[in-house]
This record gives sequence, C-alpha cells and structure tokens, in this order.
Amino acid sequence: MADINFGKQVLESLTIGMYSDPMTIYREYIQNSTDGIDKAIKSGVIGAGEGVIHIIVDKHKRRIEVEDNGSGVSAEVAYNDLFDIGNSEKDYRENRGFRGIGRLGGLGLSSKLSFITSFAGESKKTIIEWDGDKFLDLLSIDNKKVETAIEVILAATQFRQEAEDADKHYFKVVLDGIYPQFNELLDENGVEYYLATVAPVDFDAQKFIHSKTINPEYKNAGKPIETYNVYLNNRKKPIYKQYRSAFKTGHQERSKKEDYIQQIEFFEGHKEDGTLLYKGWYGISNFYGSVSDKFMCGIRIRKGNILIGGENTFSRFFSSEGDVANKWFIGEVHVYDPHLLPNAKRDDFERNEAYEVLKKLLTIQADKMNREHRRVMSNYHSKIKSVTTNLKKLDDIKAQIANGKVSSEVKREKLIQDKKEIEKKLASDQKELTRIVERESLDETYRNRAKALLKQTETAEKEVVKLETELINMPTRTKEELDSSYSRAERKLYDRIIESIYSFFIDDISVADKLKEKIISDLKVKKKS
Amino acid sequence: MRILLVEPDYKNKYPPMGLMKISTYHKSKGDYVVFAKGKNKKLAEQIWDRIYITTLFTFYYSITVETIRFYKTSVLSTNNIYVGGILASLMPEDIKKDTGIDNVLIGQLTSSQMIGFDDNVDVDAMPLDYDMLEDVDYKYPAGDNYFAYTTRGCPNKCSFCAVPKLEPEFRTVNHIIKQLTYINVNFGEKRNLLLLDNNILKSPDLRKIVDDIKKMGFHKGATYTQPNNFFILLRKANENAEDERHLQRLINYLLDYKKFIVYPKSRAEYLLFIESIIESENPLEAINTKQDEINEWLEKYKDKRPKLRYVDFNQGIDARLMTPENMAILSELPLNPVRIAFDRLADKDKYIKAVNIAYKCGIKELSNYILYNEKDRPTELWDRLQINIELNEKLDVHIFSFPMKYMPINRKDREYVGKHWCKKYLSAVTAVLLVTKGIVAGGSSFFYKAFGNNYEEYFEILSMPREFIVYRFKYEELGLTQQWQEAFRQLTECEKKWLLDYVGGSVFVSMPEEKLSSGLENVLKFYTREYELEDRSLCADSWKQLVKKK
Repeated sequence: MADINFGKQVLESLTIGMYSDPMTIYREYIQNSTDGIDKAIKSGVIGAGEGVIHIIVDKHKRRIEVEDNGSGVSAEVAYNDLFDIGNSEKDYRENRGFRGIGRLGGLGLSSKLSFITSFAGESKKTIIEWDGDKFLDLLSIDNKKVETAIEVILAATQFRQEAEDADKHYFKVVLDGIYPQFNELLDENGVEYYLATVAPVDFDAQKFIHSKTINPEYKNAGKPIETYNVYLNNRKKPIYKQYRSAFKTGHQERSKKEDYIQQIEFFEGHKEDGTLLYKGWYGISNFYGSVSDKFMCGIRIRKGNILIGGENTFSRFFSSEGDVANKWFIGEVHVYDPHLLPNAKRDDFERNEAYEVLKKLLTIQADKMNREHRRVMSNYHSKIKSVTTNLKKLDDIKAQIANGKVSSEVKREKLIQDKKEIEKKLASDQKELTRIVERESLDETYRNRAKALLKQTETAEKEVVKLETELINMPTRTKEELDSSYSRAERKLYDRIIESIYSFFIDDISVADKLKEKIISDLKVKKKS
Repeated sequence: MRILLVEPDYKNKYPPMGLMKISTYHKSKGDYVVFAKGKNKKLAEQIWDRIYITTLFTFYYSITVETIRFYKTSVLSTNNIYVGGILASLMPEDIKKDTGIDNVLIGQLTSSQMIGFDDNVDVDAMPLDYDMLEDVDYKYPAGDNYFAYTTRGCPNKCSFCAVPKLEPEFRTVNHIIKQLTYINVNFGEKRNLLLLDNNILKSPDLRKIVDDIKKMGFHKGATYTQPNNFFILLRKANENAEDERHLQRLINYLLDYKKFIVYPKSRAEYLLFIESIIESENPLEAINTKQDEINEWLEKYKDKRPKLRYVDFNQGIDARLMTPENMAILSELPLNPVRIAFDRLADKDKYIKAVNIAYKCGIKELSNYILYNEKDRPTELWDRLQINIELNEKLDVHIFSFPMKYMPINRKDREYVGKHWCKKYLSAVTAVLLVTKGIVAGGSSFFYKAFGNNYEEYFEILSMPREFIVYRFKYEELGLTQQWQEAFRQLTECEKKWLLDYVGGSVFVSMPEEKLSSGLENVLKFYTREYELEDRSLCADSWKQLVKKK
C-alpha cells in the first residue's frame, strides 16, 4: 500500500478545477456554516433561530470573510478534520456540505486562505493557513521539487492553535488577496444577488405577502423551509430571497407588462412507498408572458433550501419549449429524498433511481402547469390582443372612408384586401376565443372580458358587410374613365400610370391633362373579351 | 354588356334553370355571358357589368353568402349584382343584411324590368341556354334533358312546403312547344323530358298539356336516337366568330365523337382527319370548307340505336287527386317512373288506391317520396315503407321509396329534429339508407333486415351503434350485435332515453355527476368502441351482396 502515491495534480482537480464559477465558493462556505449552526442548535449551544452567518466583502483590502456562530471544530480533531480531503465526517443525509472538499474551493482564488475556528467550551482556537501563491507554484508542472499531494499540502500550509474565550464558538473562513481575475467575488451587489438566489434564506415577508401562505404550508407538512440569517457587510437586514408579489413580464422594455401573483398553488410528489419526494409551490398570475425579473423567473429546485443548479434546471421537465416555458412560472421545488444527491459541482443531481422517479413526476407536473396556465393564457392574451388590434384596424378603414381619403383605385383595392384579411382573422380569433371562454379553468374576470370583446366582434362583423359595400361603391376617377372590360389589376395599373404622369409633369399640368385625354381615348376601344 | 352568372359550389343534380333563362335573355341582346360554378378567382379578377347569382336550399346559406361576397368586388357598384332563386326568395332580408346586396329578386323573373331593362321580357318564359353549362367543369347529373314547367304554384298549402311562398299563384304557363322547339334548333334534341310541375293534376289544361308533350315526340313507346349536332354547332360558331368558346365547343364535339368509332383503325383515321383540320391556321374556315366531308364521318358513326324516351313529372303526383280518368290521360305519356308522394300515413288509403289506379293504367315503375321528421312519428316511416313492400308483392310493381328528411324552410342548416324524432334515430335512418344511396327498393327480405320485422326490432336497429347498422353482418358475425342487444335490453326506459340523447350528441346532455349505472356502462362501451375490432371490409361486402341479390 505504501507504494501508492497521489500525484499532486489530484489536488488541482479537487480545488481550483472543481467549480467553473468562482461565486460558488460562497455557497460552499455557507453550506459548511449551516451544518455548524445545525450542530450548535442540536447540542443546545444556541437556540433555534439564533444562528447567524456573516459575510464581509472588502473590495479595498481584497478580502472576504465568512463567519458563523455554529459549534466550530474541536481543537482535538481540527487537524485531521480540516486537512483531510474528501473524508468529511459529515453525514451526507443530514448535512448540506458532505464531501469535505468544498472548503478548498477558495484555493487558487486568493493569496491566502485561512480557516479559524473555536469549539464551544474550549479556550483554544485553531488556525489553518493555506499559502495560495505557494500552492499554485507547487502545483505547476514545472515545479519538480514536490510531486505528491501530501508534500504539497505540508509545504503550503501552516497549522497553529491559540488561546480563545471558552464561550466563543465559531467557524471563520478568510480569503486574503483575491486575485484580480476574480474581481466579481468582491462586487457587493453581485454577491448579494448570488446569496439571495442560492443561499438558504427566508422570503422577505414584507415584500412577498405569499410567504405567509408558503411557510406555514411547508411547516404543516412537516417539512419547514430551513432558513438562516445571512448578513452581508454592515447591513442591518439579512439577505432575503427576492420574491415579490408584483413583477414584470416580457422581453423588450416597450412591451413589458406588469403582473402579480394572485395566489399560490402547491404540488407534491411521492415515492411508491409513500414518502415525500418533493413539495413545490408556484404563483398563479395572469400569465401575460415570460417573467423578466431574473430574481424570480422559473421554477427553481432547492435541497435543504439551497439552490441546485440554476434558474433553468427545471426547464428540462417541460416536454417542449423548456426554457421558454419555465420562465413563465415563479416557484420552487424543495426536494427531500436523501438519495437525491446534488453532484459534486452542485449544478445538477446525480443520476440514480431516485432521480429517475423525480424526473418522471416533475415532467407530468410541468406538463400540467404548461397546459393549464401557460398555453391557455398565452393563447388568451394573444387572441385578445389580436382581436383588439383588428377591431381598431377596422375603425381606421372606416375613418379613411369618412375622410374621403379613398380616391384612387389602388387605395380602394388595398383597403378591400385589408378588410378581407381583418375579417378572416377576426373570424378565426373569434372561434378560438369562444373555445377558450368555454374552458372551465378560466378565471371569471377573463371570461367576462373575452365575452365583452366577442360581443364587440359580432357587431363589427355585421358592420363589415356595410363597410365593404361602401368601399366597393366608392366613386373613383378610374371607374368613370375606363371601360368595364378592363380587369381589376389593369385598373390599378392605369391608376398608377396616370399618377406618374401627373407627378412627372407637375410643372406643366396641361401636358399631363392632354396626355391623359389621349390615353383615355386610346383605351376607349374595348378590350377583346 | 359583360354578364357573369354564378351558382354557388354545392353539389346539385339539376342545372340552374333561372340562370339558363337569364343567359338566353342576355345572349339574345348580344351580350357577353359567362357562367361560373362556385368561386372562380380568374373571373372575379375581372369587372362585370352585371353579376347574377342564384341560390338554392336554405341549408346552403353559408356557402351562398360566402359566394355572393366573393364576387362583390367584381363590379363597379354593388347595384350591378342581382341575387335570386329559392333561398333568396325565402329569406331576402337575411341575404340583404348578410351580403350587403340590395337587389334580391323574389319569385319568378316575369319581367326584365325587375332587372332594370325597359323591354319588359318575361325571362321566366324564355328557353334554357344549355351552352352556358359548358363554361364550367361541373357536370350536372341530370343536365342533358329537357326541363319544363306547364304550371306554376300549387293550390295545396302543405305546412312543410316552400312552393306556396315561392309561387303563390297557381297558373298554367305552358310554353312547351315553343321551348322544346327552340332547344331542338339551338342545342339538338334531348332524350328525356323532366317536368317540374308542383301539382300537374290540378291543371285544367291537362289534356292540352299531354297533347303538346306528345306532339313534341313523347308518346308511349317513343324512341330517340342521339342526333348529330354538328351543323348546329357550326352555325353558332360562324355566327359568333368573336366569341371563341363556340369554336372550342365545336372542336370538342368533333374530338369527343371518336367515342362512337369502335374500330381502332377507323378511329385513328378519323382523329387524324379532324386534327389536320383543327390544327390548321384558321380552323373555323377549314371546318367550313370540309363540312360535308366531316358530316359524312359523323353520320356514318352516329349512334343509331333507338332508345326509349321518358317523361318524368319530377315533383310527384298528388295521390289524392288521382282518378282513373286523369291517370288514363297521363299514361298516354311514356311515364317512368311515376312518382307519387306519400307525405302522411293518414293518406294511406288514398295512396294505395292511387297505386292501384297507376297499376291498372299499365304503370309498373313507381317511385315514392316519404317525408319524415316533420310532425310524424318514427313508426309512421316504417309503416309507409312496409305498405310499399306489400304493394310490391301484391301488384307485381316496382316501388322505390325515397325517405325525405324534413327540414324547415326557415332554417339555415340541416340540424332540425322533428317533435317525435331524436338525433340518434335520424342519423340511424341515414345509416340504414347509406347502403342503398337513399332508396328503399322493393325486396321484402332487404326491407325487414334493414328496418326490422316490427316496431320493436325497428327501434332496436335505430338504437344500435352506427357501425353496427352500416356493417350489419360483420358485427353480427362477430357476435357483438348480440352482446349489445343483451346489454341494451336490460336498460330501463329512462336509461334508454338518456343513452339515445347522449350518443345522439344532444347539446344539453352531459355525463351525469354520479356514477353511471352498470347497465349503461355496459352498453356505452359499444358506442365508444371499446371492443375488439377486426377487418371491416369483409362484412360490408356481404351486406352489399344482399342488396345486390335483391
């Protein structure tokens, strides 16, 4: 056994190579913190709700701190506990960070990575410092001084223990000298957005009224949503999930539309043995379109209230139009089954049996939501819009006739054509809208609105016939000048030619008049049938 | 003037006689007339001085309105469009409102002043222009006959009939000699005569009418040989050189004539000869030059076999007015078939008497209109059909029954359900008749199989799932019919009623809130096709065989 060595490259893939997105180190350290806090609560060191995670982002000092008031790590086991890689004593079924590798994610991002911890009741604190610069240097292939992983770890770290108040218990991660290419880690707003989206924090009850429905529902189901107080810098308010009752839909600024969540719908999935696999909620709104607010859009999957993957992870469960469909919804799915494991990168689940069950059930759920809300409402709104537009277009034609603006054959034929298309569209929209109105699931308000519009359409359809007659009977110059043997297309052409002549001879209208007279007399000879 | 005549694109048997008369009228004035069936984009692209659009049944309302509006833009003013015909006469205000056309002609076009001309010509009395039918690809199944009226209107005012509204006044309008002569001269002789009189026996001129018809070549045993119309067509082509359609008709006639030449070598020779003429620089001139030679060919290969000629009073003869005397006069004509209406079971005795009178006058082929879905009960349909079956056997005549489903003349669709009928029964009758194209012929074995031996069986057949009715033998062979029967017979009357309403697709019937009774559940699966099904073709055949055997 002694012959087996781990080359130092192993370290690279477990630390710097682990996460493609540097922001994920926040998630990793918060996870560690929540585990510590849970432990502290369990052992009675702090009361429920007293756990706090404090994050400091100092742009000037290029320093990040993540500190919690959890139980800390005892001085006795700290050495092994914090140096061993992938051998976390944590029970993966209970704890969020279970692989014991997350904590090294900070390596490669800064000059120095320190872990400082003190266990409750011990008057000692343990300090472990990783020299980031040295670590990178040792890992480089050109560096032949050290070859094994153990050698690198020993060369790049310092371990010491110092005196500390016995009362104090904490775990603190400090990253000093963040490398310039990872400046985003120091952008306070960016960090806030990341934490609000990913961290296991609560809803802002003042801004998201429906939290008063959601939290009790989960609590009553025996699965309360676990939340922690996460503070950023010296802000007084903890970080909250950025859900709001009101939001905007649509892609372009011009077409954005205000919408709001009217009520919350819940859904659950169980395994065959009856245990709860997941419980989700989503907001019922007008479903005008895709949600433009990136804090809120999409159904998001969380385990232990920490986001798994991103805002698009749920998209795959929609059998078609995945991303597009998901963005229409606002909601969360909390998964519970211990066998549903986030992969090492935490951007997805491990593919196993439990995942297959989840996938099957959520696909059914997604299709149901899509069918009931998005498709119907998308159709509803587009039909309402289309009918309204076409009714307006009809009014426009009416106005043009009334203003005497229809004098040429070209214009007349164009309006006749327009009218025909509007009518056709109205008829098909009317049919579709009638079908939608008959749907039981449609909200009464919408039904009434659609009914009113349908009535308007009916009246308009009757008027169309009159309008059409008026358009056809409209006197035009060409009607008088050309024999009926000339077709409609020929009349339009004649019209345009005469128009060209008059615009060409604008300075000498008499020439135009004479030319026109000549043309009329030449064309008087009837065309052969 | 440029005149467009339009008939909406529904499928109909008889050509639009009103338009054919208007065509004759306008052509007599030297106008350019074109006939269109349905919506013709090319014609609509042109501008017409006049467009006449005919209408037919009220249940063709939507296609009619659509067609009118389609042509609306092909005039300089909508006042140049005239709409007439049956539907237009029955619902003129609806047509005006839904099409925006104000010129809706009601009833017959008895004066050209009605269409804005001072010459006061009775267009309705004008002969038909058969030429115009060749402007369209549509072939009217009964297009190549003489059509005529000798009377208009009807003194009866039957509740189901549109005639009192369309032709309120009963009068004799016998132009038969004039009309048929005109047709013979201008289009060549036709074989049969269809008379569209509503109630010929009411005419005080019956004797004269029959004599006129006989004079025109329709006595008993009269025969017809297809005429050679070459010179008629040539004359018209010469007279209307500016309208190429005449020359085209002539050429088509000559080319089509090859069908009479059976011997391939002669046919090839003939075609070679004709093609050499029509491909010359001036075909009309060439045809004129070689007209005798052409005619020799045509005369030689003309179909010289004589065929019997028939007169058909297409609208039926009123059984109640039939006497041995008037039938004796009528039967001087080669009537085939004699159509007798059997609108009500209450007329049973008069009807049977009428059939006997016809039989005694030597008439063997009878046809029979049976109105249902009005005030009648479903049993009355079965009774009347059965009476015909009995008469067939007793008298050795052939009575073909045409059950005619009543539809009110003020409806724009065909969805009406009579007081004593239900949707399921109506569609079942249609399904039974499907196999025979609407006719119930004479054979008793067919009738009892198709409609049942008694009321009980009849209602059971009407209640069967549609496939079970159409593919009777197949489902019986599969044993499914028996299974259905067993399940159906266990239902209570109340359940049966619900079932019929439900499978008939009534609007107000939906699945009940509570669970269906097990009986209904058992039966319903036969309608929703939750049973094993194999090859469909095999038994449809044996059903048809029975029909054929008959």
